Amino acid sequence: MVRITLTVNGEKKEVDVSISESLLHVLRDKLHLRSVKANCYRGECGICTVIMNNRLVKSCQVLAVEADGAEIITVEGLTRDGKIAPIQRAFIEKFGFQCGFCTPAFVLAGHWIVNNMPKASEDEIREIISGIVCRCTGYKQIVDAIKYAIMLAHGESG
Amino acid sequence: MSSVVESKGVVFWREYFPKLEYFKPKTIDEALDLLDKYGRDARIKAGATCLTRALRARKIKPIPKYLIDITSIKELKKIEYIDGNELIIGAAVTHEEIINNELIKKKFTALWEASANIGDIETRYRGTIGGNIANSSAQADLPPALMVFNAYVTLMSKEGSRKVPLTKFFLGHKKNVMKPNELLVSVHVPEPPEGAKSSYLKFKRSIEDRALVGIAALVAYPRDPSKRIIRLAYTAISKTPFLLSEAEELFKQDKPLSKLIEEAIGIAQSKYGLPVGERGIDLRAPKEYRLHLIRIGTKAILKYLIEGIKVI
Repeated sequence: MVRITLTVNGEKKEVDVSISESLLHVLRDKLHLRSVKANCYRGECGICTVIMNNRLVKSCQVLAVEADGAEIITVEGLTRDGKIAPIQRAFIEKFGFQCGFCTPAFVLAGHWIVNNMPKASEDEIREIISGIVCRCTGYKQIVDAIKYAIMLAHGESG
Repeated sequence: MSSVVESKGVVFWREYFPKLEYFKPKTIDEALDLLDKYGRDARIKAGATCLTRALRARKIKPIPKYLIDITSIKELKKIEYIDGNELIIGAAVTHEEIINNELIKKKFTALWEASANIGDIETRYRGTIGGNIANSSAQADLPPALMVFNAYVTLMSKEGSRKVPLTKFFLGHKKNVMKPNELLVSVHVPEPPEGAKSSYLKFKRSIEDRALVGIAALVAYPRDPSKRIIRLAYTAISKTPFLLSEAEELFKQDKPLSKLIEEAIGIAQSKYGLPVGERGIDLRAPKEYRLHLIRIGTKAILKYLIEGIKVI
């Protein structure tokens, strides 16, 4: 067992992990952040995507020990003072989900795009979310939601 | 949550990695010491985009007991260009760092395009050039793009270092010439010939897919047979990525280019030999389709480099 320190959604957490665990396992089962979904464990579906040090990563591909000192954001961290983030509002208004299983990953990818690429075109958005699989709806509503979120966050000109 | 499932020799997917010890050396020497001590029981970890799935599937035999993380070694994170001579890329440089490098985009376009074509944004952020080469997949994107520049790699061990041209590096799908105590330290890309342009064309089913066929080409002075240099390299059609070594001689002949291209296509197609039954490799596309892609791909990439017309 190794003790690692993570800053999860702005809160410092100390967790004991074994080398055999991935970041996904630590977030979901040890810190009980159930918005981080576990699916393929192969880095194929992208459902376990989280934001680590302001970058999108698939948490199943990150060893827990490797994440020592990292700053992690999950969907739980998007809501501030009871107010939801623009990307969450956009997903609700544009119906960006159906069963909801992939939604946390898409919301985080969208959140990252809103923060880092306020001028992203539709093609760029599609390219960035290409690593995440949704098996219900197709991606139209999701892309619409992300575009709408950029507008909500940065105004019409953004 | 799912846990370890194993019955009657059939291994199902597992959530946990095997029991491991983890090291994060800060220098190459420390890494080499560890490799020397643990040899075949140790495994190098860089971006871990492929390693994590192989570990979960217990695919690597013998199952590693030690993991050596090289992503903290500063010497392996460098991109260095010696003007007019060569480009040296550290093994732990990520695909994204290559994509963000303007010089590579301008001078080593095939390498840049191959890096930009790898997986999705998450994979490019973590995956490394050294990992792409050392993993030695038959569908790897970077090797053909590097081969057209006659690139070579430096392998280091406690006993010393050696340089291996990429064309002699691969022995088969996931097999290469590295010894258990060796570390891939850097990739060396010699300066391209004067007036050369290069490109990488990847056929894939979706934007983040692996290659159905990947073709890298380098062209200089296409109109002048005596000075003409045309190099072609392929991935995902044989046991290893390969440089079509016959092509360079072939294109020196004073015949119409279209005839020579047809001949080169014929030679490339004759090299078909994907490992049969390897799940996920020959499954992506049947032989006939891959041969077809070689034909249209080779024509398209050369048309682009010679005439500047993009058809695909």
